[in-house]
Formats: sequence, C-alpha cells, structure tokens
Amino acid sequence: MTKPILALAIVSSLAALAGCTSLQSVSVTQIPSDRSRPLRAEVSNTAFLGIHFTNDFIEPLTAQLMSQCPRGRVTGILTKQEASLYVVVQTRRVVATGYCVYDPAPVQPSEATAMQETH
Amino acid sequence: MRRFLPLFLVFTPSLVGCATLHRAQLDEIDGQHGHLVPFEIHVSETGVNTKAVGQIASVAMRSSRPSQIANIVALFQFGPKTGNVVYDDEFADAVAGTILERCPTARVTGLMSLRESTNYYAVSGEYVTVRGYCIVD
Repeated sequence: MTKPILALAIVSSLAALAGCTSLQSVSVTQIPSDRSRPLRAEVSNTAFLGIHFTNDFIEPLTAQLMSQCPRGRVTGILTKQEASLYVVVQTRRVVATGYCVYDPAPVQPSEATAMQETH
Repeated sequence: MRRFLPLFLVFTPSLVGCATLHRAQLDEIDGQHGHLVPFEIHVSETGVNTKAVGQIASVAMRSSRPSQIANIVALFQFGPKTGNVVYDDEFADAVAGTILERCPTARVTGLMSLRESTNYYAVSGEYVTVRGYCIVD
C-alpha cells in the first residue's frame, strides 16, 4: 500500500519540479533578409506564490538588445512572455530574439544625375 | 474586536498590490538614424472585481446576499478580458496622441508596449505603459 503512494509522491514531485509553464503573449516584427547577426535578450522575475509587487523587471530588455547591436537596427524581434510555476514559486520570463542589421548608407546622387533631375 | 478580524484578514493583504504583466510587445529598434531620447507614457483606469466587492459586503453585512448578487452581476461580465473590468474602455486611446506630443518629429523607435495591472483585492489599477525612443538628429 505504501509503495504506490511513494511512487505517486515521486511522480508528483518530478512533475512539480519540471514546472507548469504557460505562454502569455507572443509578438513578432518584420523579419530582415540579412539574418547573419542573431541576438537574444531575456529578463525574468521570481516570486513566492506568484505574488509580484512590480513589473519593472522588463525594463532592461530593450537596453540588452541595443547593447548587442550598437548603432544598428534590431528587427525581426520575437517577443515571448511566459510564466513557470514550481510548486510555490512562480517565475515570469520575457525573451526577445531578433537580428541586428546595418543598413547600407543611402547612395548620394551624382552631380550629373542631380542636374538632370532639376531640369 | 473579533468581529473585525475577518475584515482585517481580507484587507491586510490587499494593502500590498499584486502586480500582473498581461502582455509585452517590443517593436523594432533603430539606432542608426540619429540620437535616441527615451520617453515613457503611462495611462491608467480603476478596475473593479465584482466578486471581491460582493465578498467584502457579505462579510461586513454578515449576509450571503451581497455575494450572491455580485455573482449574478459577474455573469454579465463573462467573456475574454485582460485584468478587471473598467468603467471607461477608452482610457488607452490617448496613447498614440501622447507619443506624438512627446516626440513631435514623429520619428519613434524601440516601442515597448505593456499591459499591466496592480490588484488591491476588490479594486485594481489597470495600466497601459509605452516606453520608446524619439530619434533626434
């Protein structure tokens, strides 16, 4: 009688340790043709019983992405917000993945072309 | 003194707000066309948890009638929603206009849009926060 109970307790504990994860929101922006520089940023916040007092944990996300792409354009951003519950502790996580793109400088019209356009 | 104990137990946890992040969305970040100046816009509205209001009224009046009425009212609020119900569903409409006020050049990048709430048991603060950067030459 005790063996099945013990087995059930072990299985339940393992299931609880694995965490119960829920996906809360997903968004994506335009994906560039140049995907040679992928980047990733993640912020998370853990609280007992899922009682969180602020949502400020998300603030560094933009800065993390910008620091990986200095003076460039971050695009193709997939933002994923999820929450995992581990028995009595909840972790909220926001993950952003994207691509760093450096657009070529716009070509200046030559003097002859500019002259033609004015006439 | 003992008659106030249930009220005390109900209200004490609610003094500390429980923050919820419902949705986070991040837009493109363009750091190659000028200097970036950060801005933040925050709009809010008071939300009401009908069931909780009924429970408080039931405890205060020592009757289950308010809670029953609140449950019936809550049936009319059934449906997909984010956070608690509010009295003004247009409270977030001003966000786009406010972005242009903060950034008159209208060159905006790195917008992070957040839908969040802070719950104080029967009432809640329902917020829309937008953070971003204004591109300045």
